[in-house]
Amino acid sequence: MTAPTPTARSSDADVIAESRDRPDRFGVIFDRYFADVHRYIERRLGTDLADDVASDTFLAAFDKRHRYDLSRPDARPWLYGIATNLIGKHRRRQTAQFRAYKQAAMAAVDDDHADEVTARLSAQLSRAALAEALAKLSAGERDVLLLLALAELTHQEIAEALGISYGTVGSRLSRARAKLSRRLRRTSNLAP
Amino acid sequence: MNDLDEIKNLMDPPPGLTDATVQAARSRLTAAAQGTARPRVRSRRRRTGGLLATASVLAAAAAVAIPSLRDGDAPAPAAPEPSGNILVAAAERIGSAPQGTGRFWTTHLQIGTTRVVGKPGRSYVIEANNDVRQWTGKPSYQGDRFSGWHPWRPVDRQTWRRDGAPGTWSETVGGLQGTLSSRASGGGVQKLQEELTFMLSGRKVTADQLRTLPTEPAALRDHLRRNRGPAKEGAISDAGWLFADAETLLLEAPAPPKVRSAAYRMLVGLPGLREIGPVTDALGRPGSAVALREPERPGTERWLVVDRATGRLLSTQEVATRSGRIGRQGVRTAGDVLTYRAALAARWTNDPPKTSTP
Repeated sequence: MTAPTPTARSSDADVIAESRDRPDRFGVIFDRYFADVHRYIERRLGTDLADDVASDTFLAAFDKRHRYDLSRPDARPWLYGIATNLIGKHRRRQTAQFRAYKQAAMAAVDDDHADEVTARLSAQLSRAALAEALAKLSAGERDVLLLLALAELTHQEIAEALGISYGTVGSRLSRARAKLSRRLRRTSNLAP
Repeated sequence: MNDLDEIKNLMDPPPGLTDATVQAARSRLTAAAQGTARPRVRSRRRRTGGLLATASVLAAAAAVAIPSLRDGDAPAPAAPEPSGNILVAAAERIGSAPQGTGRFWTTHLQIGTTRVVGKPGRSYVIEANNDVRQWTGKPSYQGDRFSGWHPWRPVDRQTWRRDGAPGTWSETVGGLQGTLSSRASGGGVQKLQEELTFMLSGRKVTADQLRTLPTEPAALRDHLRRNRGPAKEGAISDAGWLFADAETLLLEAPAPPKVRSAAYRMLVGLPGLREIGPVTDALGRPGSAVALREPERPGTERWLVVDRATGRLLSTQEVATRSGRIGRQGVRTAGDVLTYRAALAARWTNDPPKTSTP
């Protein structure tokens, strides 16, 4: 018997194909990506909800494994797409999470040792403004932007994840970024 | 840093994935694979204050300017020198001071912060401060003047001249370009709608409430621990809280002399606290310092600088403990003062200030 060489890593597509007859093989996909997908969800919804939604994501993926497009070796866009859909069901929680980020940024202004001085710098205020601007994006714009920023998917992968065209990814992205920079420019003049 | 990094930094709650969560999700999947029942594994995580806790942890991380160096601080002395001498001497002196009286408690504080600017190899430190005067009473008054940014020490002034003596500097924070201007602003004193209060243990307290604080060190410490604001719990060490409370009681709040004395004594023996000895503060005034190092604030320590003759607290300052990048303050040299709060006056008076219309 020969030991498997370290480089012999099956593609995600191969593993998913095997899992159609041998369901336990899907555990390989879980082991490869659970932590990353959990982190993505955690950043968008907070830790406590992330536990449930990440678990649901892999269960939903398992149920849909027969429909996975085997021409795509990398399963990440597919998994992030499922996660993003599930995140979309928690709109209020998303808003609350952005509010928490905003509060954290504002609290940092208060907590700073030289608060009266640095409040004028509004660096943290800009972070707060960013949280607010992200909360105000449309769901479609936000999903595209956060898959790029947090999940670090490519434009093509985002298109696959969300089932939209490559061109739509580009246009949503530029709209989202334009909105953010408009809002941030208003708060970025630090001089008193 | 571009906008994507900035989003990533903003949306960065403390990672909360535990082995238990992985196991629960994995066994749920295994159950599905085996075609057996799938128990809905609800998270057992406590939800109370989850978001707030997240917010406060982030706040602490952001406020302290986490250094990007990972090599750790220069180790604090294994057996810390006793910090008792300076603190006990100060407690004795301040405790025998007379209890003042007056319609207003008035303070004059200078609150400063610094940045490193200029080109690599030709960098220099600039400083800006707020000069804040307060009259706490009924009614209360406040005035502040912003100094604008300027080169700090003589050596910084020289480098600044070689840099072309600019009047503004740009600062990039979180991908946003901002301007640090040398222009001063503010200055007038105004009557306030509400009575001024002081932050103690993360809660607002009035001058009247300060009179009822315990005058025994252990009792004061217990009182402060019991009354802590909930939002910051967990993000600041116990020593960090008590140190901050002592700063408030000794630097700016009208605490009775016996409470101030207890505030010094309750710090004796705190973990991470050590005695530094004779120093000059950020404004160049001589005093004795004790310092607190907290694991939550790597690369920095906080100093109390005490006037030996009177036991009064002259200033508190945040000091770099190693050379390297320290968050927003840039690449610093060990011993650099990063931020400071200095008391120029703190006394009782019957005279309200002259106010100015804004």
